[in-house]
Amino acid sequence: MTMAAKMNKTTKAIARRRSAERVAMLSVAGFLIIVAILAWRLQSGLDPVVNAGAQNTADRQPVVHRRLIIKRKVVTAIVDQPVARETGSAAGATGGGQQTASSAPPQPVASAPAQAPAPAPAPAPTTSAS
Amino acid sequence: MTEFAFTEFDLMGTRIRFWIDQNSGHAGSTALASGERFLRNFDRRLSRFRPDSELSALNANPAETVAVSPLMFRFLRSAIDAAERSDGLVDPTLLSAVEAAGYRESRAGVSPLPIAEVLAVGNSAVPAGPNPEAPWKSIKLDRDDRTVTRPPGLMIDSGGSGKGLAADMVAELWQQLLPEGTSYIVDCGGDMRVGPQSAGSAPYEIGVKTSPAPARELKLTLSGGAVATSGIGNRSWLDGEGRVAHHLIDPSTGKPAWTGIASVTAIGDTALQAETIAKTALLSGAPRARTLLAERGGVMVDFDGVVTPLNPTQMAVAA
Repeated sequence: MTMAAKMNKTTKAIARRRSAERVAMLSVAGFLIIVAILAWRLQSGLDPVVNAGAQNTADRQPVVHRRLIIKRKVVTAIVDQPVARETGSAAGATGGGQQTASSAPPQPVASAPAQAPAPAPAPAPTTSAS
Repeated sequence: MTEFAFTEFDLMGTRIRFWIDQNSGHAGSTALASGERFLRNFDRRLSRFRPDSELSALNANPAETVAVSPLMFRFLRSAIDAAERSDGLVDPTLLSAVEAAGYRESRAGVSPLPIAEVLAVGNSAVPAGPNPEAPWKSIKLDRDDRTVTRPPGLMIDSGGSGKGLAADMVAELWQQLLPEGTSYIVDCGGDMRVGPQSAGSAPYEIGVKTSPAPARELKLTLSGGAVATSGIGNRSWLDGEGRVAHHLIDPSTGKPAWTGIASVTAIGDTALQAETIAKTALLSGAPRARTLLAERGGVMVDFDGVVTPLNPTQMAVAA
């Protein structure tokens, strides 16, 4: 083999090795990029598998409680006068006569949760003999 | 302003209602579900209307000493405590008497007599008294062995203090499950326990339904503790001889009590305490009821429909 032929063979071998190295480096780089993207999605809570599972679980769970948003209300009141006269100990009573009202009985106010249809109004807390 | 998550269901022959601050999130949902589970177990064990309940088994057990569950032990201890505090008026051994008066089956869903018909019977205002034999004193509890010893055949009823105890025990459960300072209300058929008022939150506003006088609405404000109502209007019936009867028995006679008071609402540290005060006041008659209620506050309604709020610093009255 001539010297020129030997050099040509050596050059081709070097070129083949560099090409293989380039392919390997590109593969590793691509892999690392994919891993980085997946890691970022996981960190952001965007894992599609996990979300799909959670969604399915939520779909399977029956609704156990009626959740309703109510608000406490301030009630304006007129003191019951005959009560104080009879008992003599009912502070806040101011005189005689029938009990009168200055306001309608309070109704619970349902706020607007982003649910439809709106649930039935919940009762205001009330104690009565059972 | 507190916004509440709410749930309700029928149990123990009455309506159970829960309110929990909706900001408690998942803990609140867990507490609502746990509270319902607890009460269903409570009812399974302590209902006299269930032949398979532990209470029915205890009442039928011919042995003098019987080992009981922790829940039954707690109930018996509470029932005896209520009897002691009421000087025997809130007597847990009146089951035979209340059955003899006609209350043998659960009256859940059964309409009571019209209140006017009930009150028309009780023209005489006779204070109830304790049973001089005080059979409840024969109930002995052994904490170490967790046993109860009583004369076989002594019938014990959970109706006198069961709902108050149930509300308190749900509150105890929620104290463990909910973040500190969470607002909540447990209502077991009018026996209500509220969570401690947290800094910056409004006090609880509890309506009081009186009977008679349903048009009148009273409100109590609570910063914690409990309120309970006892009355004769909602569980009344005609007995076998066509006489009007109700479920609040005078221990001294074994018959329905006609004390001139139709209902009492009382405030207490616990629902059991409030219920005991309310029943004691109703059974004692008006003079002693005023004294009992003046200490913590409450409402008394007599047969004429006169509504008497006591210690109304915690109370507004509106129609």
